[in-house]
Amino acid sequence: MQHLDDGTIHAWLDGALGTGEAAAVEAHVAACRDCADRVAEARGLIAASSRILTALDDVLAHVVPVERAAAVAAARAAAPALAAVPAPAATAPPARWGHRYGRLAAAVAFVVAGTLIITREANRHDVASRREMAHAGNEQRLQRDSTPAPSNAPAAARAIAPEAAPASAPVAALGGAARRAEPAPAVKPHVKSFAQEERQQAAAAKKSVAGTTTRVLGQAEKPVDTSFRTTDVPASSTLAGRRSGEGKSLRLDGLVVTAQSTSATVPTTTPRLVSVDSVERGGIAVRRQTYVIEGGTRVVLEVMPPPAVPNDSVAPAAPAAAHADSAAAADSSSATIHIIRWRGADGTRYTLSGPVSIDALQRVRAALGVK
Amino acid sequence: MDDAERLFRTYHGMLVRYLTRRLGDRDWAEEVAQETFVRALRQDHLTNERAWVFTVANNLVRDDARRDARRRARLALLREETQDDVVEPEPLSLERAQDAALARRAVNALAERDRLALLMREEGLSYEEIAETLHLSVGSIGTTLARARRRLVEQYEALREPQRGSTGHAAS
Repeated sequence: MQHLDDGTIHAWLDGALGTGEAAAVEAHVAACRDCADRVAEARGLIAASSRILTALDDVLAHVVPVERAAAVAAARAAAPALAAVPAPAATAPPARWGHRYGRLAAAVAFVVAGTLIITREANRHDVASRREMAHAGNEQRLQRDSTPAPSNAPAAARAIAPEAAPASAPVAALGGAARRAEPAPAVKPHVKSFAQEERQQAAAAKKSVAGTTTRVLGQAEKPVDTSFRTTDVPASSTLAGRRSGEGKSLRLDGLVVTAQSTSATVPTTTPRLVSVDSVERGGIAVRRQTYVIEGGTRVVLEVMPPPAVPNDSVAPAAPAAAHADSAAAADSSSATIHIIRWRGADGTRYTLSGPVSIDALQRVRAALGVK
Repeated sequence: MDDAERLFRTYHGMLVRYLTRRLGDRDWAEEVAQETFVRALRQDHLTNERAWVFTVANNLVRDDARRDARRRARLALLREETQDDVVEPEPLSLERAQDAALARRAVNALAERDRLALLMREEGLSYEEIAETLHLSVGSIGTTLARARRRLVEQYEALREPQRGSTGHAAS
């Protein structure tokens, strides 16, 4: 038998030869000193090349984490079946991944915390800015409360569920279940329903010219101060209660709003700011704020710096085209536009106009808290 | 364990290692590996999974190299930009870093076919699979591997020799 070639030797060492061929090579190597030496050399080459190639594994990894993560995410999105497959430890050391996820978690936590802080600050600012706009819609509320509630909408449920929902959502997001209804031990209800409480507080507010009133959030009302309170109410007084059965007590977390009322002459609803723009009058930039008041009527408050305007003058009612453009556009074009003007303590001049009576404008002014 | 998971568990590690050794860039290697498995999942049936996986990976690398040379430059740029955020797996010792650099140069000195055959053999591919992937005859694989191994070792030793000399000179 002639000597073995390198290819055959390597194939034999790699186990790539068939049984018969391998046996022949083995026999030849056992008999041929030269080929035995070459086999030994080949073994050394195989081992050395493997060791050299192992050194190639010392390369940087995860040097472009964002792009690679995006590529992996895209690949996994394209192949959902791979999503559940963990990466082998050999190619994705847990410590590194953990570090990356830790960073990611920290970043998410930072963003969430920042968002919450900003939201809270914004709410505080909003609350502060509207503290002066607190109103007492007590007459209307009394009127509403005196109307029998529909049989399928108990007062408490009406007071809490539809109206307080938007305001309570952030509370729920912060971990509080705003309206969780969970079975509680049979406890005698010791807290009045929100409707009862509302009526009592409304009555109290009516008596006091200036004081603190407490009422449940209304649709057009803005929270001045909120507190989160858990109360026990009869199950039958809530929708959830009816679902879960009569006679059981439910724990309801309700939002109670405390508002500071500053005037006895308050409008029935808070003017709702719908737009703010700026116009120029005589070279002076005037801020124009449009509010919607009761009945969908729009009134316009213009705020302008000096020069002077008659202080606290009440101008009757000539249709003022410039004002009517914005104030009465949504209402009857034949409505008479009334205007009241006054000057603030700092010299700022205010003009409030709208297709309502002067008394109504005064109430709007009081509700806005612009002095 | 479904086919996707089995395929991934079986071949991902070796494929990434193979690609890393070939490319010298683990991020790129893992991207190519991911894309390979994505394509594998689109296949209804694979007759020879391992050969298919390595063939597709090789083609992807080739396509990448042809089509997107700028991408590597961009990756290098991003690597520099994100250098501060990089968490190294572990610092390489000077000796290991030198070994890695020499090995890279030695491997790069091989002919493409020899290099691929050697790298695939190191990942355990059979001669038949290597032949299928590289479109060679099975009988030629032994010769190819023998040549590749010998050249790799010789090249590596040749590259190490000056360093040994300088080290010995410094030591003396």
